[in-house]
Amino acid sequence: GSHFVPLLFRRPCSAPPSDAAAGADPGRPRGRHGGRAHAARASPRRQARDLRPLALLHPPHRPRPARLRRRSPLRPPPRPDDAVDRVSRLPDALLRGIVSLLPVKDAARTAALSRRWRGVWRSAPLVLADADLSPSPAASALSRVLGAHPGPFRCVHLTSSCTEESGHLLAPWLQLLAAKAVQELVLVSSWFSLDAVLPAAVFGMATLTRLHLRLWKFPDTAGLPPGPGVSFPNLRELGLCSVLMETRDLDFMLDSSPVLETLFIEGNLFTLRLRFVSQSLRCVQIIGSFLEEIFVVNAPRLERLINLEGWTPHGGCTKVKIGHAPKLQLLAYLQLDAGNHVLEVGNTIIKAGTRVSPRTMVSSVTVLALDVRFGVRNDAKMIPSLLRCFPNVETLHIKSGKCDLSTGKLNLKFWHDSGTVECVRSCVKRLIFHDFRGDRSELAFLKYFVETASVLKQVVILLSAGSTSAEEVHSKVAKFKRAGEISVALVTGCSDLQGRYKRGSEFPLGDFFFLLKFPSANY
Amino acid sequence: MAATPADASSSSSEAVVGGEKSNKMITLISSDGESFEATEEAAKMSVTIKHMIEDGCADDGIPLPNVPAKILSMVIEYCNKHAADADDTNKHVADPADADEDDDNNNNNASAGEKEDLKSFDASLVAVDQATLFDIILAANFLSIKGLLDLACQKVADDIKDKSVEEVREIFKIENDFTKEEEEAVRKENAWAFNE
Repeated sequence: GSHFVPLLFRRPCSAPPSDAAAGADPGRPRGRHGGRAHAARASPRRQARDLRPLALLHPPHRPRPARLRRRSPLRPPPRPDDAVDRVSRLPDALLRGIVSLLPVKDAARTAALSRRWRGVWRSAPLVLADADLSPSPAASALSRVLGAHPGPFRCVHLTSSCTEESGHLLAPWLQLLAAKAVQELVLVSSWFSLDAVLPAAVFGMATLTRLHLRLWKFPDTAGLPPGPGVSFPNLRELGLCSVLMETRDLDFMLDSSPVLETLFIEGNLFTLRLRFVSQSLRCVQIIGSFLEEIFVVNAPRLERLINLEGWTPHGGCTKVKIGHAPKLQLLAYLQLDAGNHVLEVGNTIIKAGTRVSPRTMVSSVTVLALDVRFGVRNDAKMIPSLLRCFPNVETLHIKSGKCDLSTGKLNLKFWHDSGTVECVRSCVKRLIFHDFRGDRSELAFLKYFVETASVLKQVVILLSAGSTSAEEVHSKVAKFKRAGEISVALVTGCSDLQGRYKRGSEFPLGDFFFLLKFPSANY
Repeated sequence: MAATPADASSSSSEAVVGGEKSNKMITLISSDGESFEATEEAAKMSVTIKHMIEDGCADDGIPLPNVPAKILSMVIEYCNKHAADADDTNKHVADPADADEDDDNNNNNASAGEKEDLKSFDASLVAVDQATLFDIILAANFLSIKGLLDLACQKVADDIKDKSVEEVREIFKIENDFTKEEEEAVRKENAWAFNE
């Protein structure tokens, strides 16, 4: 009999559920006053509480350590309105920690609580989001806060203060931030015009560990001196969101950031060719941008290269060139297009029919994502050759691209005729099929895959909205050979980016790419 | 898990296979003399305890003179929950591109359901009276359990947020020991923070 277990999920694309209220777990004992009162402790040898499975009493044969004081068997429940000021008795470091979790106005107000509290806010590193300053936009309040706090500035998010009216204040603000050792900076322009040029003062912020920019024109780096005084010796994360810049500006940033680990690019409006030469870079995530070429020249620590939702002008596609990237584990998405060069490994351009050799293999990759139009024969024909370059893929994502004009369907015979693909045969454990429409070509590929992949354990099919129904797909897939040996999950209602890649999906996130989000102040 | 010098001679340890998780139980002794057991993995969520284990001081139980039994059992519960969750790794390498550097308990590999469970567990753990909450803070600080410390401090911060100075004093029983002049001076210094 078949162990094929159909699972149907309705993915909620709305906001995640709110935090469960306290006391959500009905199994816990609740004291009268809602505190975590213990039940009676009548005997010295208590039984292990089954609600706390691993907080057991020590085994009986060991001598009990001496008690320091006697306690009555029945502990009275705690009084919630006990009149002791415990918070003020916490050590300074903890008070500072608590205050730095507050929005800036609340944090600054704690100075008026008592003498003990007076100096706490100023002695804690500043956490400031201008959204918390009113009225908004709050240029003058911002200037006052930046002046009032002596520093260091741990985290500053300016998402509404950078307007055209306050434009003259921007460079002084950046200088102030630099002087007060700002670590994390989010700078969003509200100009909505290409005149919003980021002041060159941004290059003076050597204490930055994280920098996210949105809607700016990057200052011209051509005139800046390169070299020994690097601009960003501590920068680990850089985000560029709708930032207008030249390729050499990005090169400059990479050159100036010797410990940069994460690069995040979104909504890049102009064609760029990206070259990655970085000893430190570990993750590159590109969303909604068009790039002619992504060339990983020499990135010995690069583990993830993600290019999502890129758009290509008619006839274009993004070429990915892999030079030296020995640790590359995740590569997404390669957009298959027979009319263009899609992948180049070690100076060899990979096409349908390219002979495989060790030089053309990227054996470190275990998660691979391909974007392919099954309706375009020549595009789909590239799949086997491409897969042969990645012999150790364990998780394969296939995104079914739309095409206006189908040039013929590929049937099962084609796939079997294309020869063995080693990673399919013996490596791939998980297949995730995005935007599945139930076309015959898609089904043929799926059938080939399920029947050939001998270590395949799980298939996840994300159905494209408004196409086929889950029941239909179920019934077809159930008929494949080996269908009983794998778990197949069908997911409906997730056609948008957020729905698919939202953190905390129903599946272990290893199946979906973890997306960096544009940071918002973390309180 | 590297074997500590104590492992070889300790009679209470279980076999530690190289490279795999140890099932060794660690005994923790509260300030009032009660003993609790926790797995080594859970116990090591406390950096303080982790160092003691690695230094080989853990064999006869670790006395924690600063932590009363009631609090210690809650701390252990937290560690068990979060250690079990962090352990739920699939084959993929932990995400190097993690935006939340401060989030120790970043469970990339937990499903949404598990994460919700964890969140509601955390919420109920700190939904306690003030005395207990501050005891948890002090214990988490002493034991160096960052996730628990952040969680408890965030609860205090949440109780302060959006309240006036008078209200915060009332909630936490903070005595206003300013002179009238001092208080005026403080409010003036940060006037921008006080215009409600």
